[in-house]
Amino acid sequence: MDVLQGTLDMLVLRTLVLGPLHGYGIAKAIRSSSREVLDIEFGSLYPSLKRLELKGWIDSKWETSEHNRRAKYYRLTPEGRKQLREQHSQWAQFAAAIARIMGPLPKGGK
Amino acid sequence: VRIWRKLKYLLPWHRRAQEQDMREELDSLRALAAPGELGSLTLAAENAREVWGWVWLEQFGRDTRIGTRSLLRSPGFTLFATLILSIGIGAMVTVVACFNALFFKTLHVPDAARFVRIYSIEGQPRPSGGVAYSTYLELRDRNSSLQDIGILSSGKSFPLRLAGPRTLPAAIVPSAAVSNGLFKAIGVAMLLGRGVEATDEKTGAPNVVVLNEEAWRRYFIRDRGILERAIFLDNTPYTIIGVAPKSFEDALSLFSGKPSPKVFIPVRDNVKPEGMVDVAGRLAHGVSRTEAGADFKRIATQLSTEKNSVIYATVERADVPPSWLVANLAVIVSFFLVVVFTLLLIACDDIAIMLFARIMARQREMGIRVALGGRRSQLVRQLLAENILISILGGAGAMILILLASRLIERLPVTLPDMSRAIFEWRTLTFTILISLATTLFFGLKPALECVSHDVVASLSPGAKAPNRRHGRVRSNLVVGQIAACTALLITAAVLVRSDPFRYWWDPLFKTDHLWLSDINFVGTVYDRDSQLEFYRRLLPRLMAEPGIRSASVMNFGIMGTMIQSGPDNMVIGTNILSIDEGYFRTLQVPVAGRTFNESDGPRAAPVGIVNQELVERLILWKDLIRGQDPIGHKIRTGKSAPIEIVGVVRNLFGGPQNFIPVLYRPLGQTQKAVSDTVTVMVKYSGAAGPVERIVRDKVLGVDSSLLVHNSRTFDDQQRQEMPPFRAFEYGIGIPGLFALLLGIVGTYGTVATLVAQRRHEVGIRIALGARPSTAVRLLLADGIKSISLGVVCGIAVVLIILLWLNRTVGEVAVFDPVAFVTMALLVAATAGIACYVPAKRASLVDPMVVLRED
Repeated sequence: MDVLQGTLDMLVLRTLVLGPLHGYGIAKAIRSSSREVLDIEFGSLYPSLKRLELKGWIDSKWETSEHNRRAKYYRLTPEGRKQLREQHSQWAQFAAAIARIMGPLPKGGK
Repeated sequence: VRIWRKLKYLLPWHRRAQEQDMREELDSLRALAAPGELGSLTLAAENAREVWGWVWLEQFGRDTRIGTRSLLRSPGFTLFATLILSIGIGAMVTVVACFNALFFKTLHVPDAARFVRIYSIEGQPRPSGGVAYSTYLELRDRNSSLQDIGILSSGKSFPLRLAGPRTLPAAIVPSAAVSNGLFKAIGVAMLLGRGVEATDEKTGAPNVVVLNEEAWRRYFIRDRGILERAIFLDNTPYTIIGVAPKSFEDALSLFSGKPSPKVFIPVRDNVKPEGMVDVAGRLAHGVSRTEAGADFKRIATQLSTEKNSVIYATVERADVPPSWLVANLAVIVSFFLVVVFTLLLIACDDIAIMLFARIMARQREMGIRVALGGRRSQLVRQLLAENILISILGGAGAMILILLASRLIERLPVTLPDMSRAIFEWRTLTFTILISLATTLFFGLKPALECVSHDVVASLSPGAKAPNRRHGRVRSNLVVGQIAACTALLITAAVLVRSDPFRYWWDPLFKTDHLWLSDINFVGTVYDRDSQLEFYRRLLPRLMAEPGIRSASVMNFGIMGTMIQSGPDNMVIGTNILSIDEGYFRTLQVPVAGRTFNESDGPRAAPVGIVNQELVERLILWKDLIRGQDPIGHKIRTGKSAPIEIVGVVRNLFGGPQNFIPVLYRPLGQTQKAVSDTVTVMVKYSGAAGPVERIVRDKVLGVDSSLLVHNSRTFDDQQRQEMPPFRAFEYGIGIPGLFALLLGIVGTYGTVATLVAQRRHEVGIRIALGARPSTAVRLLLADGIKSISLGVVCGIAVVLIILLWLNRTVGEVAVFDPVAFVTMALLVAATAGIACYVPAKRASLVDPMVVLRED
């Protein structure tokens, strides 16, 4: 399933709330949290990381990974946290609004 | 913060560090993930780079680099394209700069829209000329729409002395009397001191003078302490009260349509300016130009009733050139613009041909790049970058050509606007840049699009280099068009130069060679009228006694006008009046029917005059004379003075572009009321011109060593100085003509050579199959010759249309001038022929093995 434009950044921020992750880790986390529904292409995810970094919402640091390998870990900045809070409430309103409109389809509807 | 971070990416070292970091990160991720799980990491990196921004800048840099390399790889193409474009842009900008300087001078005066020019002429509804001083006074006192009104009265040229009276003059400077109202109407602050004020105009006020900036610079080295110092105009002291800035002069010369004088002196209440004065004013606050126009119309109607005459008055903007000048030049301007625009189109055409040819050669390269995944838009962008580079080179080359052309223009014996200044004006520079970039789209876009829309597979298959038929046709049409346009322009230029439509008409029997003129300045000398006449009588025999001087005469060259009242209704004929002495016609070697003037036509004798044939015709037209009646003995009336008896008739010696000028010649002794400021000595000499100036000076100083001889020139020079602006354009026509010739040579050679070079492959195969090189040359030439002959024929057809049009709008142009037609057609055909032959010859010498190996 494709991700709505602009939503990817929010997903990345949300994923990083749980703790610092490297790029591959983020991709895997999104996939597993969505129960394999959202399979984000790394080619889109990576620029998104760079974009958020440029905005100052996340920052990155080289660390050693669980398999004793060097990797670049991304973490939320305080500003990123603030952004996520804003976007989260916006998203909740938006999702609720869509859900109200869509509702369940009338039975027998053609 | 974000902008700052973004800007940091512009720093190369920061950027390199980021790239390095990104590479390491992606490598580490690749190691973590399963093979292929992350997809194309290159694409990810590419997209990430876009986030940093500046991608376009990077692309631009890359395109420029690739474009430069590709242009350097084919120096021949680059050189020709640059040259051709330079010529096209150069011609366009030169002409536009000329007109810009002429028409769109920016006046740096406060609130320029309120600065207006006033015309008021008796019996002349069209605004032109100036205003009679008496009319000016009425307009000044009766109008209620102007807050300031003032005059400029062009005056004498004075010897300017700095050290004291009767010392060696620093120069002869043109002066003008300017009223305080004009200083206020223009309203710019003086560089130094003040302008003329009302108190300076009172009878008996001290003599004061305002210098222009040039005089201040040249004679006083910008000394700021010159105020209150005295200079001597002739030998009278004048106190310097101010220095006028350039903007003041620009305003003066723009509103009056005359060059600005160097020194300004006040108009005096008791001295009435002679002749017509130029009037300008400043609208009162809240008064529109239309309202002012109505106001002046009302005054003109009043004056007409009072003076029992027809007087017109018009008010027009003074921050643009006079309307009569613009109207006169409009046709010529549009003609020139059409010509240079055509030139530019030809240039673009040429380059388009060469580009098409180049693209044919690069089809394979493009095909490979598309096949390797290059985006078409990327390819177009790259090709356009190449074209923009050519445009920039062309624009730069054009500037060099324009500078050369401006040098040429400054050498022309006519007064054209200051070209070097016009070229570096911001409007001209902007125009050059814009036109250079616009040409890119003209010549570059189509070939670039064409290039990438080709079938990739076809272009990769062997033998695809042979151009397809459609392109062949387009290109040969372009060649025909280019040769046609070139022929048309060159023939038109040649016909115009030869038939000289703006020429002053000259009597072919009137020989102006070996005539020398020198001015003698009498300003500030002790002479009165009688002693001046006596001076002539003493000077002339001494001059004529000199070997090498065949005849000498004295005249007053300042051509003044007069009105002759004619016929029962007292209609007036405007005529020029020339004051001459007894020797004038003898010196010019022109016969006079009746008699010339003689010693007895002095101040106290009955007034006499000699008229030219044109004046006789006009007298007949206005019924003063009956056709067939002998004009000699007839008396003409000039208003105030006693009737003048016609004692002689001469043929028309010269005339304007449309008609002859009526001339009334009068004896110096009778026209001169007082001492004449400047008189001109004219001598007919034999042999070399070199010593003549010295002889005249020696003889004049021999009679009176206090006099000043200056402004020596030949009669032909004199005539050129008096040429109206039309005359300048006649010379001007040669300039686009010259550009056309250059373009014809370079352009035809460049395009035809490129086209022929395209067929090297074909020629190689033919030669390999046993054709002789001479057959190959003939084959290559056949197409070229077809295009050339078709082009020349089309060009001639276009010329005929242009000439018929010019004949209707501009004036006498020989529609069929065999010499111009044949020479120019041959010139174009020969150039184009050589341009075909040389590359054909070179192509035929190609080694077939080399060509075939390319496949």
